[in-house]
Amino acid sequence: MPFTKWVRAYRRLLDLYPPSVDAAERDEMAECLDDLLNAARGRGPGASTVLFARALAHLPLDAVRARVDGPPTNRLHSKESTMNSVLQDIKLGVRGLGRSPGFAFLAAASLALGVGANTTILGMVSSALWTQLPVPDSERIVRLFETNSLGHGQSSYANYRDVLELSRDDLDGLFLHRLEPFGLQSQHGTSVIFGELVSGTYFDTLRMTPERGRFFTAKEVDHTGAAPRAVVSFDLWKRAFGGREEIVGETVRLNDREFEVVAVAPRDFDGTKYGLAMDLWVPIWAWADTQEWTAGWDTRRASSSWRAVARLRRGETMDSTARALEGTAARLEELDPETNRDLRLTVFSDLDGSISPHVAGIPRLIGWVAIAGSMLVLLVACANVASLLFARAIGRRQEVGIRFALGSGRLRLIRQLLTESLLLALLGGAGGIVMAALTSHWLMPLMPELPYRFAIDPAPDLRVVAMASAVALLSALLFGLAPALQASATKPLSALRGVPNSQGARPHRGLSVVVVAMVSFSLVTVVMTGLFLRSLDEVRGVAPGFSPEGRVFADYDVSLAGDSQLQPTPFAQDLLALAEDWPGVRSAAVSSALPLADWSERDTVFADDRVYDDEELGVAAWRSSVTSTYFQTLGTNLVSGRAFHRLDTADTEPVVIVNETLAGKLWPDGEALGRSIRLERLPGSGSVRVVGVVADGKYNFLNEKQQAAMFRPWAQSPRDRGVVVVDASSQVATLLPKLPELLEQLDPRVPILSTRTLEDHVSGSLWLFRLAATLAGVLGLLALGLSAAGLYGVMAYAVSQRKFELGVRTAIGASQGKILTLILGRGLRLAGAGLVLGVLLSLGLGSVMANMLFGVSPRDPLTLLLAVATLLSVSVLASLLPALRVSSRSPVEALRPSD
Amino acid sequence: MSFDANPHLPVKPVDFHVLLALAGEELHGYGLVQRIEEQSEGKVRLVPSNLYAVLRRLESRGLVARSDRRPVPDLEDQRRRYFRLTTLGLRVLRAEAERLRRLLLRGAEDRLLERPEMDRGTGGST
Repeated sequence: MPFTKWVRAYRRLLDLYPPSVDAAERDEMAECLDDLLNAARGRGPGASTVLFARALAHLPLDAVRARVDGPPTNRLHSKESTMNSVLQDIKLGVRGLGRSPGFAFLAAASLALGVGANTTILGMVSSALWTQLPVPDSERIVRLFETNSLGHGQSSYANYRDVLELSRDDLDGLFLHRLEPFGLQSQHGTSVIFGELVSGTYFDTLRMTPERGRFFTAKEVDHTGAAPRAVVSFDLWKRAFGGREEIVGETVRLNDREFEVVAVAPRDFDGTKYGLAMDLWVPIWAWADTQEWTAGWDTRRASSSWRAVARLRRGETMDSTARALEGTAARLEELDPETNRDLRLTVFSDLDGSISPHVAGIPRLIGWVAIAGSMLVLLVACANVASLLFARAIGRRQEVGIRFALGSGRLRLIRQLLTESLLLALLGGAGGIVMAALTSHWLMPLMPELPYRFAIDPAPDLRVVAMASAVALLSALLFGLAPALQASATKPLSALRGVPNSQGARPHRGLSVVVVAMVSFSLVTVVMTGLFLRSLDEVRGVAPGFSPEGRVFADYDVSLAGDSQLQPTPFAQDLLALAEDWPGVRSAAVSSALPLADWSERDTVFADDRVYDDEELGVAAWRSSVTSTYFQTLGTNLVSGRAFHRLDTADTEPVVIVNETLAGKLWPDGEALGRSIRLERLPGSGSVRVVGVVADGKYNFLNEKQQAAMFRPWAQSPRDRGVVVVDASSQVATLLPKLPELLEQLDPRVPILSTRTLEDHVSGSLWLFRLAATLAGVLGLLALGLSAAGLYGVMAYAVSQRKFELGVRTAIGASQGKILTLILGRGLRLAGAGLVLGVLLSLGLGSVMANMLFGVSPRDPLTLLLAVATLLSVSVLASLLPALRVSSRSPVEALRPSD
Repeated sequence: MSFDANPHLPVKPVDFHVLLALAGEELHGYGLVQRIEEQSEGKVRLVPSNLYAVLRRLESRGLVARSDRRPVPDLEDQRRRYFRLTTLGLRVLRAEAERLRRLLLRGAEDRLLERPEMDRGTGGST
């Protein structure tokens, strides 16, 4: 009787069974199902379907069981408890590893390196790039930017007030904030702390609950004359107020004005400035009142120094919200067609917006590339361990054969071998976590040096440790299972016969695959390393437009003293007069901001002798106020015209010095000297005459495109916050620690934010490149070392397996060179395949890397070539050592029965 | 081969069903499934893959053997093989049945089976 279609399909699936279940039995099972289905059909159409489904559902598991149990033997089922046999497995595993300590160490160390690298990177990425604000529904917190053709800009208070009003239905909250240094007065004098100036909507938008007290609201603080209030961080509460319960209601002195502490923020809240830990939150209006800001700061739309943060409405996305805000933006343009020309309100994720909207997406990409790199190293490590286990499994065929012969089950044997890999994983994982804990401390110096407290803690947290442990265990199964299955497939008889390798002269196929994979992954990692190192090298070679050598500087802020009599211009003059008298000082200058600092000001500039039509935009320029000796002190070349001099004061003609790029952009046709610029589109507002042109430099980042910059005389445009720079030439070491004394001498109430050498400042601005290069370098070295060890292990093993054959060859007259080429060829063929694969992988990954590199193509042929050459020479070395050892042995020794 | 039944006790429930089904007659796969379903009052319903797993296990322990005889040759084709109980199998089956019987007699009945009168007594007092 022919089978139905269903039964034929079932019969085909029965081929999943091991050969021990012969074809006759499979036919019989199919026949049985056929009978059952026929009988079921009598009970209705549903019954046979249900029966077939049940039969199908049971089949795979039963087939696997039949495979694992192996052919039926004449033994009783084991009476020992599972627990006992697991303990026994562990005991045997420990003993087995103890018998070959070299192997155990190599395998565990490989894993520790892989897991350690992974944990470190995961820890860094998760703390730097995967953190979210510790507030309810933090994924709905986004950043708003005022975007026009110049890019994404910050907000003015006036625009904020209108957006808040107009977008009530589109947003679930909106606030303004900015970083602000505060002078905190206590009986020990003034100390600088960093906090945020915020609109009253801040805590409502974030939906936070205070640790103590009650947060201020918009109604209470968003108007002039409001009682001065402040919220302190948990850390500041513990640090400066000893964690006193009665802190709420107490007053603190900030810039010498009294503020009432109304609340303590929750312990895990560091504020909304990315990566920085804020200590204080003060309402904008209270600060404007106490600091006596010039009237109109809240209505001038051009003064955009605030960052806007919003909460999306439930169910809305960034895109839908940006669309909903189009009407609001149009209304803003109506309100002020001049400043708000072509304005759009754009929405960025909290991470992208708080790092920089201009590099949106890149931080996350960096994170993924770092993780991918560390995963590659882990894969190489796993491959290395797998190759060791493979070799060991093949070498243990005899032992396995004996166990089979003594009646050990296949499942039991696999379990035993897996227990061994799990023990290795445990050792490696623990080692890796210890390593990660150590390296994260070692990574700290690579972070930028800033006066602020860092909120990024690269130490692995519980999440990351859990993940690393999972990775270690998973890899144990991954690299342990294949060799275990391989070993357990041993036929007892052939293994006991003592034939060294029944598969002939070729290394085992599983082993070859592992080696090829290992080499290709290593190549990718080494190429990545090369690209990052070359980027760092390129960016280091960029001229910053000034000479950092021999210069030291100190940051200060006169407003922190809280004395409105203390004016920045006389303060800077007195400071310079004092500094220039110091021994060892060649020249000194004060400037409002240093190039390559973590903060800067910019202005939009127009040529005064041109009429701009509506479509045209001005030139956005980095700007700084400087004293007359600035260019001389920093070693910046004056291309034409003059530097500032002491006669450029608030009462004389307003003047400016521009860089070559700004001059070229404003007057592409010719000379800039003597012509004038203005800061407004329309003529009539104060024009400023260009008296000098200086050489281009780098202003925000060393890897930036050439940007426009301008300098104003300090006296015509003074700032509370300043930097005093001193050209100390050879005296750097002695002058640096004495700089604070200089300010102390002048006015002890003015606190110093930081002091450093200009060289440290420049190299500090490269921290991201250095971090990338260091991490990639470490990963690259790890991958290289691991694959070299792996290849060596495999070749040494393959050679030992072929000892007999090689002995015979030598005995019948093969020369030493011949034997050498034979073995070397085998190793290089494997390495070659891995290299080809690796080159293809690297080329494919190139486009992902492009945005993270500087001055080097992601498919840079030189880097690829060097990486290939490095790996090739490592491969040659790894195969040469075992080859040399065997070729130098006498055939007699080789032919001796195995030891 | 030893003929001692004790090392095989206790017998797994599904093994017991197979042994019991084969106690009276030799059966092929389909017959076994039907008989077991019958004697378990529909509680144990096997499919080929797990039935044959049990049969292989019992065969490897010498409790069941394949039979060469065809009880009704004209109805069956070559694919069907019949299974029979071995002497050891019969012994194990009896020993297990005896074990179960003793288990029930040893007061287990009193503790396990419902006592309707007692339930009624407590219920009536309210």
